Amino acid sequence: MKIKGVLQRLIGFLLLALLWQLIFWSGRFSPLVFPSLTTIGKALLEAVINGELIQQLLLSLSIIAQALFISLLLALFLSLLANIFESTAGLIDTLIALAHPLPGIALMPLVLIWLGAGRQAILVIIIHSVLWPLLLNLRSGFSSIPEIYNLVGKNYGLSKLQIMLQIMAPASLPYFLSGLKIGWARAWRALISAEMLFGAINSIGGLGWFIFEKRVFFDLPGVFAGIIVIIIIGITVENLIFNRIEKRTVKKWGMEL
Amino acid sequence: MGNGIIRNYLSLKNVYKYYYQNAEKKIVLEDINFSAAKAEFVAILGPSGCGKTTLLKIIAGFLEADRGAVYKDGKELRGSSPERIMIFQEFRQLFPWKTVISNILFALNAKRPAINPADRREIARYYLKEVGLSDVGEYYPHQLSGGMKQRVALARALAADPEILLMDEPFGSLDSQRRAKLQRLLVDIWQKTRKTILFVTHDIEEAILLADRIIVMDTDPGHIKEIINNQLKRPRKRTDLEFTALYKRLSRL
Repeated sequence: MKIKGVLQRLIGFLLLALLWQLIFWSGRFSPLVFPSLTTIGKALLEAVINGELIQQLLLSLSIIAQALFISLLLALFLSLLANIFESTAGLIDTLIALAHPLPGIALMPLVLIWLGAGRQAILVIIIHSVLWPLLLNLRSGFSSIPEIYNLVGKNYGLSKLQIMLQIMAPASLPYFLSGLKIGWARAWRALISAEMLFGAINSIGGLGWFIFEKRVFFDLPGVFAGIIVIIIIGITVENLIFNRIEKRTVKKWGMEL
Repeated sequence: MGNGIIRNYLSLKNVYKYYYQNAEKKIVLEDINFSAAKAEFVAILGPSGCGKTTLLKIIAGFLEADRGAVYKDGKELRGSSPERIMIFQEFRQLFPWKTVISNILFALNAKRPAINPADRREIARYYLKEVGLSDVGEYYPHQLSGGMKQRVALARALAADPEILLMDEPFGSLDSQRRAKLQRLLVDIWQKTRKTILFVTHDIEEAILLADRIIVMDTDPGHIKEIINNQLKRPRKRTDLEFTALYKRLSRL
């Protein structure tokens, strides 16, 4: 079953590649705007070997890791606050309702004026993209914990902190993971766009900037090389990391949402 | 049954419980008085809505009585305690993220942390065997049938070694075959461990089969109608004449 899935995926990729090559061979488009797979492959290899692509990738990943970490702490802090002090819950929920539907990109002009076009600005935009869906999921995760788990915890003499750590945390894990997944997807998109936009003003680098720069020099194979790396990272994180975590936790426990 | 001291091991005195609906006071429990002897098996029998689950939750310490109190050995009980473990009807009382053995270990870790971990595991296995489930220790709850889950819940409760077991229709969601098996298992365990058991049910047969004493409740407001001693010889059979006689008497109430 698993091998079959991988095989199907592989055949899909091959078919797409073939289609691409067929269009290229048809000669309907100039190789400048529609490069062949071999040119793209070469550009990708070159960018990897001379270190440029890896450097920009690492920069992007470091920004996103930092932003995810900060968002995680903020989300945990705010959801704990809402749980412990009833009075803050309404305020926090209002904040979520206002901020959650607002795309990070929409904040960019404002952030640009307030913070300038630097790493800080990108961080703020990514944190905005991640924090609210994560917080929203944590909130609904906590409120969906069956009352019976808490009763059992109380009955066996657990303290409030023990109930929090031993019961609330694992019981809300499915929601936490799904919030993290949404957060990751949003952060990744926000990051690439922010790097492109800010790169045009004040280059701080990153994958988005890599692609943008290649476009400026009309290096389309380079642009595609950047896109391919973005796809690879997306697949790796969503399929390998998240799926693996889910398989070892919520799926194994029969707690999928 | 004249021994007053033992008889008053666990007692409820003038227990009332209200709730408010649109500023209107509704009485859930009205003047509940009874006591249980140590190692006694008491059934609380009544239709739905008679407040029998609320009553059990008050004894467990999950809810507070609005008037009156619950006493154990003459001392008023406050709050919940692992000395009084509740077993629920819901199958999801087990923690889904823990294996069966870890669910039982949870009780041991909470109640008897002084025992070293290897011994705790050994004890957990012992209780799993006691409920007839030696082979499923490494399974997760979602892989078990409803009856198995209730057995694990029983094993977890026993592992905490409580003085009193509070059982809220634990077999209510099982089919009759499984239910009969679990009833026999519970009686065996009770005879072996001599725990005091308060068992809530709406099933007359179940109450007769299990309990030494049957507290019959009724609705509007929830109150005790009658307390009946059940001296039938064990093992009890549904087809015995005395059984059916008691059944008739109870169903007329």
